[in-house]
Amino acid sequence: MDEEKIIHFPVGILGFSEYHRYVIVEQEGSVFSFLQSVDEPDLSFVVIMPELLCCDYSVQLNDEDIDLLKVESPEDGKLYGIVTIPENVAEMTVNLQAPVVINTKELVGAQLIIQGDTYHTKHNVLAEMHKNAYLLQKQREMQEGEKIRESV
Amino acid sequence: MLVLTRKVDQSIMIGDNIRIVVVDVRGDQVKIGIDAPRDVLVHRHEIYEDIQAENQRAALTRQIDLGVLERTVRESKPHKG
Repeated sequence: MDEEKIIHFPVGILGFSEYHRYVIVEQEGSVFSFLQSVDEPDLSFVVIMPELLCCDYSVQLNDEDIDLLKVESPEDGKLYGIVTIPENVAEMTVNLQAPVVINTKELVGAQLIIQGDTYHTKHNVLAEMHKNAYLLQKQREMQEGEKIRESV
Repeated sequence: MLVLTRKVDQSIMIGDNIRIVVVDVRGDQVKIGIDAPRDVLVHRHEIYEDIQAENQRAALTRQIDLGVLERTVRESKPHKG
């Protein structure tokens, strides 16, 4: 295990507050990664970057979060959504209400809770991806449309 | 459970560094202010329970192959409508 990549979670993941050290295990070519506990080999989660699902997904950190995560600039932070994988994998959901935020510079992480009802704990991963792909496609079409208009 | 009666603007200390203030009372709604150290999580109980339960469901109980997830994503078709 690469000691330099261990991320400290001062508060832990909700429901697993006794575990404070995790690593992100990425797999090349995959949008999914593992959030793996360093101290409990049997404890791991599948995570995904929510930006891949919702193009406008962002998290507003309050002062306490900024202090806890020692964030100095927005580039320090990386967002992950925890994925729940049922028997039927196609029905997997992602928790966008409580994203995991990691300060990649200081290697501190926390699971935050987004206030309000925009996001909930069970967004269907495939549905969100298709919605996002559709929106991106529309955006591209509009941009291309503008280019065509400009060139006329 | 310890039950205390407080008026608006009065507060309660829990230990040395958690302060709970009754900010406002209107009908059956109470507005509560909380001063707590930043490593103490404060959330509405139902949200906290909801997220905790979702985390329990998400914690892997079987081997998951990320390649299988990846393929599921790539091979899925958009829903109509």
